[in-house]
Amino acid sequence: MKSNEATVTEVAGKHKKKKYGSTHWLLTLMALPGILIIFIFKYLPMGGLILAFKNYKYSLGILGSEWVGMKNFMFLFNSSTFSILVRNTVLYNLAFIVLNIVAGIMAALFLDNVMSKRGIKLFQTSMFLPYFLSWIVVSYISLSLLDYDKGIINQILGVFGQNSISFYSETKWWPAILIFFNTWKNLGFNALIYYGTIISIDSELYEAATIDGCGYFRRVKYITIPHLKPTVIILGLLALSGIFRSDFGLFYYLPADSGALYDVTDVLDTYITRSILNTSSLGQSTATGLVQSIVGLLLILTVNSVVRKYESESALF
Amino acid sequence: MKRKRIFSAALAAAMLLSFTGCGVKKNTNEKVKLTWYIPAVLDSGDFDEIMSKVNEKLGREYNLNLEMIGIDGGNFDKKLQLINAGGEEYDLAFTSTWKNDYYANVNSGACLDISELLPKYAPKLYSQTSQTIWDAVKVDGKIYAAPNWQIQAKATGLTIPDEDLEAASMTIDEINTLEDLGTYLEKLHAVYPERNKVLPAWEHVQRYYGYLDIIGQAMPGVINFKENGKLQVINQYETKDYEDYIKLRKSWVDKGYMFDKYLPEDIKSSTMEDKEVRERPFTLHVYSPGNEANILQSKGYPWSAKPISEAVLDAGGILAAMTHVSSTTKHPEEAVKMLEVINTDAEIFNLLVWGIEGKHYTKVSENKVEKIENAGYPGIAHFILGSQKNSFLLSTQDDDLWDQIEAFNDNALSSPILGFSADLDSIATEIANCKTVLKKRSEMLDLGLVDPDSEIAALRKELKEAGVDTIIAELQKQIDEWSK
Amino acid sequence: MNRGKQMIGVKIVSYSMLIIFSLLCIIPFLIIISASLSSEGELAKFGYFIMPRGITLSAYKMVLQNPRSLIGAYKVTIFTTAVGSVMSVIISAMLAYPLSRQDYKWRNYINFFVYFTMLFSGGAVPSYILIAQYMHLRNNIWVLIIPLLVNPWNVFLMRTYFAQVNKALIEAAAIDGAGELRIFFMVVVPVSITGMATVFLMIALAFWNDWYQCLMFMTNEKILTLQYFLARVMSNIDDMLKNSASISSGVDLSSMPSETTRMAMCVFAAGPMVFVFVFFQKYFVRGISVGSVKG
Repeated sequence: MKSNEATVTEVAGKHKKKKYGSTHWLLTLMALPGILIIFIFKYLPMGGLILAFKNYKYSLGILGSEWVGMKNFMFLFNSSTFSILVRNTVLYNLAFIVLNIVAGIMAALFLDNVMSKRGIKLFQTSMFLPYFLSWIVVSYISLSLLDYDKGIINQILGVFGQNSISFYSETKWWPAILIFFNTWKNLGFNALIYYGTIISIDSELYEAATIDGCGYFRRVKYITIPHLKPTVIILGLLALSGIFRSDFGLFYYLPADSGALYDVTDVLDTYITRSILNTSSLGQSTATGLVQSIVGLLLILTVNSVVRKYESESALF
Repeated sequence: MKRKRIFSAALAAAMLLSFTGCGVKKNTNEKVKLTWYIPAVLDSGDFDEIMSKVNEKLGREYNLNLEMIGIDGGNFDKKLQLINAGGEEYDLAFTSTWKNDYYANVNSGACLDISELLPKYAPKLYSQTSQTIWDAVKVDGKIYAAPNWQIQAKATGLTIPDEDLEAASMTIDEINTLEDLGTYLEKLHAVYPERNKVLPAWEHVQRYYGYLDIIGQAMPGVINFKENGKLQVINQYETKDYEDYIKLRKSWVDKGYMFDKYLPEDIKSSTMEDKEVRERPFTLHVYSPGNEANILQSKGYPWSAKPISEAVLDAGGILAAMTHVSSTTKHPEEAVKMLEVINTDAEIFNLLVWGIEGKHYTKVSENKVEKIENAGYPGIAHFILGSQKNSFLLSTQDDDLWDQIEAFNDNALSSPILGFSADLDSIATEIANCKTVLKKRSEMLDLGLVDPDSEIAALRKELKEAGVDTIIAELQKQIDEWSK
Repeated sequence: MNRGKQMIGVKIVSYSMLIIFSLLCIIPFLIIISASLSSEGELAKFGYFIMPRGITLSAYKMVLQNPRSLIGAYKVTIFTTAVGSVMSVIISAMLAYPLSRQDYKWRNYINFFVYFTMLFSGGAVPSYILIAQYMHLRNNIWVLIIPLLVNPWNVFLMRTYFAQVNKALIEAAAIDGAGELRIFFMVVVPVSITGMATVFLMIALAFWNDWYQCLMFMTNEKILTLQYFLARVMSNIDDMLKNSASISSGVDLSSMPSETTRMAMCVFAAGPMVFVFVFFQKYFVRGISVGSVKG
């Protein structure tokens, strides 16, 4: 792809070529502050990843501590619930990725049909409210809805003569509950991002399409969606690389750490946090983080190369 | 390749990082400044004033200067881990089995060996603490922390509101066993038919049956202290006692005494109960003399409390509150001296615990005080700092409370494995597995919400799969070696 | 006309869906606010409700008991949010723009350089050693800002916005003799203002909500961010309760913040940002006209 650009530039003539030559340095200079901050605060500490292979003793320092090979990794792999943890982590993440995209785009499209500025403001602000809340607060909200004797849902069920549901000990409800709250919390934020893209689309395109006799759905299909594609791909790719990680707060606070629900609520991050608390090993948590990173890296390299093939402009790198 | 270069740069940087900086030791006659981390929130506007009074006395009498740094309890572990792992210089920190884990810290080299310094620089503290207790604190024969004197022996306790006892027309003296408790519940139920919410309590009840934890509350692997001298490690979840207890709990639920649904908010808020709302007829917990006064203070109505098991002195109770000297300290002698001061100088101790007289509390007698409501200094819990004996008492507490506690500690049975600390390295995975299984199954069983027969069987089976036998065998091996 | 009818249908669906979405989001907020205004007893007796029961301000009085510290925390957070967001949006945009240029030679390397940090991180301890031991930034207010200045996520989002800028505009400006900096500030930024405002808001939110950086590097209780300040009061007592089995002596339960106090804290924590958001909304709406004129 780069070679294509290069030939174009070369063809464009000497004047331009010379200009572009100096441009690279200027562009690099622009990027430099950001690059430096990333290097210092993100790359320098990465040396600490060797802790994953060590039995870290404070008094011996990072390098002085004893090498233990893959022992810290075996702690995770030998877990009797490892397969359940992986299943939960991956499936929830896939559901979140898809639903965040779909719900975000739908809300953005709906917003785009609202003509009054005040209306847009009102809807956008209210949908954004959950994004301000921490998971601890959200867990209070979910409790107020799901509680056995005081919860709003069970109060409503009672009105219709139905039996109350003991949500915090029945596993079957939790996949839906967790997915709902995750989508709910991120809806306003995702809608905002897609809406930002939609309103920057040249309105002449729509006008021209309308004159050509295109209905609303055709305009969405042929103009809006293609314009959203780069954003969707970027957000999707970024989210995919975290497929082995999860939002600790969501999985820990919402189910109130109820043991009876572990089969459907326990993910790698909650398991590790719980396990390491008493055995207190930096090596084990570093090793887990490393596994999560490597899985993300492998996945992203694969998907990115596919994207580069078909949508080179949207590829991450 | 560029990427490779980045990696090697990062690695080189990491190498640089691992050399801990070593400052030049200053040799002046200035007061030695000590830094002490405790789990507390100290942002009260009046704290500076309190500290200046503390430092005035410290400087005058002991040539010391103290900086207290409070970190909220929820984040204390995390922050201390960073500070320790970063090799940062500080002098003292709170340590225990439940917070800023003592064994983990000793094991990773965060604590200084103070066996030699203690008799020299903290002679009173050293002599007023019994040798049994020092032995319990030792790891491989060395002392790495000084225990804060408090209630160290533990017994399973029962606490019931007086009003409920009256309603059931019983006195607390009539309740000596869990079966008696059942009788009480039956009588109470006849008066107040609504179901009550009670917390899971197996971890406390274990002691009632004679079991002592080895590697943490309710974790598999216990010693039966009633079978004197027999150091056999047992999986308590395989015992008939466990079955009996679970079946008893279940029968209470079946008879309508207790709530039949899982209520996470009650689990979360644990012993906290609102002053205006009262549902819980009793709590099963760890007993402490003077409990009644504490609960009266926080809940506002009178309670009766009593132990229903023998009191046992074990490592868990002794290591529950200690202060260690950091291995990064530049002033080990002064740090140990500070331990002596906080454990013997009541004036300094009470300044920190209660604040300033007339401003934060009023004296009602020589050693009794009343807190002034909303006075701007919430205080530091005394067990976090040092010996409770130094502390004033609340006006609601018994005059001889400290003597009661002292007697309670002294009369307790000693755990047969006092001084043993397990090395968990080789069984970390099994422990994590069992922890998950227990969390998943035991809470529902303990609350009496599921069928005991099938669920206990399932729990036992899953514990086996999680490697419980490996844990038991390993602990047995280590204890056998230790007892030789 | 058929077309017109279709549009009306689409609008009805859009409005009703948005109303449902909004209600789903507003109601829980009302629950929190009403809980913060309810009396503790009523709340425990009847559970949560949209309207406050037994209205009282006692929860707010509890939180405001120590107003000096709260005001201090607000000051710190307002400073980090204002200064941090402006610095961050500028530095991120300057990094994102070259990455959006297909003709930039080192684009792929730098992209990977940035992206890699989303996957791998050294963890808390090495960062702590670097910042506290070597840069001596502990208890320095800038530690709440500088390490957070560049978030790869935001960089990539901005990159996407910049990539959508019509290339003809850039080339035209280049032919007119404008330098890269001029092109960026005079052509690219104005056209992408909508997207940048979105990212700016996210950055501001991140600074506003930060407690982790504060947890890591602050031991001076006079420089705490608002979120950490509020969270730790709860965390401290929660923790004491959780461990009450280990420390049977001396936990004073009467200082436990009640459910209503917690809710009031939530209002203090999120409230101001909601106002800022409402203010910022102007730019999103205005973005429509800017975007469509310059397109």
